[in-house]
Amino acid sequence: MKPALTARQAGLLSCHVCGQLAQAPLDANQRSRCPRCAAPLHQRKPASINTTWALLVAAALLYLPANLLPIMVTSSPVNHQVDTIMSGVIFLWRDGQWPLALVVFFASVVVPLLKILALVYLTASVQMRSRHRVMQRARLYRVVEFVGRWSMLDIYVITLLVALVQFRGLATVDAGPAAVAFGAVIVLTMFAALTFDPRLIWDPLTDSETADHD
Amino acid sequence: MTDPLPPSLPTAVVERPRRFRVPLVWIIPLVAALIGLFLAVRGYYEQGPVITIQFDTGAGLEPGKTRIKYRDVDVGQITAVALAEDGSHVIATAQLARQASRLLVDDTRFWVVSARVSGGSISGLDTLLAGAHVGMDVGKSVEPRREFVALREAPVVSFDVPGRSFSLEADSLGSIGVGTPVFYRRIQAGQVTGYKLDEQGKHLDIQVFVQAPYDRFVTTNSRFWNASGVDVKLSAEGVQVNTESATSILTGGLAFQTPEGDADEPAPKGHVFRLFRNRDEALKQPNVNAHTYLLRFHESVRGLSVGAAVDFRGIQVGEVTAIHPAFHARGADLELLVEVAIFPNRLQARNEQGKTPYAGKDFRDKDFRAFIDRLIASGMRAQLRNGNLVTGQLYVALDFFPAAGSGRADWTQNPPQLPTQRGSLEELQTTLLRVVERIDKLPLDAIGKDTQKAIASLGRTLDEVEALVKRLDGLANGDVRDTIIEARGAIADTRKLLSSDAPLQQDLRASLQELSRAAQALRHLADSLDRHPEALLRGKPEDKP
Amino acid sequence: MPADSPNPPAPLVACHECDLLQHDVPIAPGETARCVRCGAELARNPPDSLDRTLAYTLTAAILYVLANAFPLIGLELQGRYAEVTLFAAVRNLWHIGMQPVSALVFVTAQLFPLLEMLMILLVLVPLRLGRRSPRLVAFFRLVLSVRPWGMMEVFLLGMLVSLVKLAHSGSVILGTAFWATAALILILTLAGRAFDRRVLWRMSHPEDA
Repeated sequence: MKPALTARQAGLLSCHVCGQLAQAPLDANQRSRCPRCAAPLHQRKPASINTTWALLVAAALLYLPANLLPIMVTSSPVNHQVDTIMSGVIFLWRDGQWPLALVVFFASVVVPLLKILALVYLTASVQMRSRHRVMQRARLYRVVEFVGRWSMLDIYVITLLVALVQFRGLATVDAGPAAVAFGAVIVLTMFAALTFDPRLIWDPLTDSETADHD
Repeated sequence: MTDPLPPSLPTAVVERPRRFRVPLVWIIPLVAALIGLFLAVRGYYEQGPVITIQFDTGAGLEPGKTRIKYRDVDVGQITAVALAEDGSHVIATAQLARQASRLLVDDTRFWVVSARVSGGSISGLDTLLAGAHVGMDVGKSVEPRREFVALREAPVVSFDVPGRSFSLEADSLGSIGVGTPVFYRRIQAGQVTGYKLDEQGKHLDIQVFVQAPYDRFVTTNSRFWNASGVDVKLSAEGVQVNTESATSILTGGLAFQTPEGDADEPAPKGHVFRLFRNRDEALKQPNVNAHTYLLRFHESVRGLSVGAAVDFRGIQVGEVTAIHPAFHARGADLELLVEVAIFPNRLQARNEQGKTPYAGKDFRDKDFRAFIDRLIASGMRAQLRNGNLVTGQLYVALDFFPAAGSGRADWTQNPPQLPTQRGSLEELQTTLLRVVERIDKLPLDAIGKDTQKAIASLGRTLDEVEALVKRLDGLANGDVRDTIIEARGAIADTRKLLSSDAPLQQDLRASLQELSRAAQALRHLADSLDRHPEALLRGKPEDKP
Repeated sequence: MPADSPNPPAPLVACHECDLLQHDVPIAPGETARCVRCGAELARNPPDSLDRTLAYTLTAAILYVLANAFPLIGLELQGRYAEVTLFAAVRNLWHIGMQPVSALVFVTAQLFPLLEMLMILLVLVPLRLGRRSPRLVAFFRLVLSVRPWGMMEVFLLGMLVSLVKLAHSGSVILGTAFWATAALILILTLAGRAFDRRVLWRMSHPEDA
């Protein structure tokens, strides 16, 4: 047997639900289902690269309003504070609550940005069929998948604050349009991570090997 | 493997290892279920009753936010606000704390608390910042109730304030409103709680609440009056300014008092009183025993008003009740008829034995009439006098006039007529006017001028004579000269006599001056009498004895 | 090239991350099988997987009810008091015009976690009772697709951050639901560790174990 053989090379389809291996139909365009659990079978996630690109572009576009528009407005009779994500972080930092500032900064600024950049890198590398640093890229993908959800932190904080701080005459908190944009960025990047097929990272390796050996 | 196995060997029992570990894990959901159950039960029991309150509008009511407060303590919250089916009002559902359950009785009241100014006080300012909340006043009933209709406004008096409420009948509202204070001896004793027009619209029913301990001073004979603003009274007695308090000047006020000597039975709750226009009217004795008489005057009654006093040598014995003119066809004369009410208890005449033989009697009694006739025969008349010189107010004075002509009471008329005397001041004024007029008519100026002319011509004549004598002097000597010298001497004497500082001229001038001064003095007198008629009686103001 | 049979010999499996074909070795309870090339987790065998997953998920369901029925946090500011439940906060967002955000929070913090729990129960309870039905696969697939979107642990962190922010201005009271949520996260983590993806097929095809 060859040292590294992927299921695709072997003409097999692997079920993502139950792990069952099945023979691929001769007509590649035909839709097939798993014999064990009837889940739809795909060699690779359909239109992975294109879909991921589209989602990444959309997320990148929305990243700008998410950070430039105000996300939270705090009003009191003496003060009317309009905060974007970044200004909120700076306010926390200046206020002396630097652990909080770090957490919010990380979750709301760093994570989405890194996620987009990482996915861009991954998708580009896959599209260019790069064979470098395969293991690192695989690990990068795992990190991206895990960390994505934590950006929702700021959204939850706003949800609670807006609902709780409604004391007319003392202090009221209102959500700003950046919340919608930011939520959209999170959703889009999460979908982008889902549509990206990590197996594509490894494909150039085996394909070239096969090519070498053919 | 060559030894055959006995067929009767028992088979090993396979112990399923999983059994042991299962129970341990299942404790966790069990515990969770128990905790959940405990919380649910506790939450259910701690929940107080749910009530519905009917409001006119949902203004200020936010479900999940608006709180219900009793004595400023949170006792519940509005949970839902919905329009009634017919859209005529709003039904709010509220969740109350468990401890509030016994506060929900039949006459418990709810209302929306908002900032408000009433009765001279401001309340509920915190709602401007914090938003409205629902106020609660717990009633005294023992019947529980879960559906309420809210009041439109906070109740002026809450249930737990002791006191009594009464009803007042008034002609008009004036400056009275809900919350207007009620004073007793200038202390705020209560407030107006409401008012409404009676069914026929003829008068107003005003509800007042008098707090303890002042409510026991309200007796069935108490009098209530409108003490709003500043009561300025101009009367024969002078100017009187009356006010209850600074608040009542701004916001109006009522006051009550029980006249001295009246019965002291405390008024029952809801007793109806009449609201008088002012203090004097309220505290006046009832006129049930007043005798009405008629007086006829031929002079001006300007300055006499209804309610003016009838005074006997300084004591008010009655008051004027009506004034109207009467035309006498016979004499083509317009008379002024003044009706007066005399209060008999003021006229308690004591005889020598110290008894009051005429108490309780009126003009229908023969003895009484005889008594009055005797007084009239002694000269008792009614006269209009100037009571207040600033305002010119008049009053009726009963007094004895020795020089009065014949006069009799006319008992045949109803009301009986009493004889009157012309006002003394009037007469004096008329006579004085006449004297001044006559003096005015004297041509004092002309007389003066003529005299002056005469003197001037006399002087000229003398000058001519002197010139003539000088000529004659030149012509004649001796006797003629002696004669001329004598003549000159005589002429000089005459001139001296007639010169400006000659006693004759001086006397004449002095007399003329005196005459004109006299005329002026008389004019002065007439003027000052006009201004200070009292001077005739009391002397000039500066020369008061 | 492998045999022409429709189902290749059982011991082979393809890594879902790098697609490498490899032998699927049987694993003892507590062990995990990983891909030879990329280290991705291939299979796991948690001890008492079925019972534990079931117990934890049941607990999680109860805690979920508590976490939603009671208020999460209470805030007291100058004598005025306000508290929220999770659903009230979500609904509030909807009413102030942030419908997309409201939907997002509802889905990630309430709907999908609930679906996940329910589906797991619906799949595992019959299994525990020894019954099988084709619907179980459908439920199971729903679990798998919903899983990445349940973010209760992020919500817990969000609550903590809010608490710290609020504690600065007024007094904060931790509601019953707060503790329920914290416990819920803990239990969900345990349930996740006890969960075996292959559970449906392990039971029916003991030779795959």
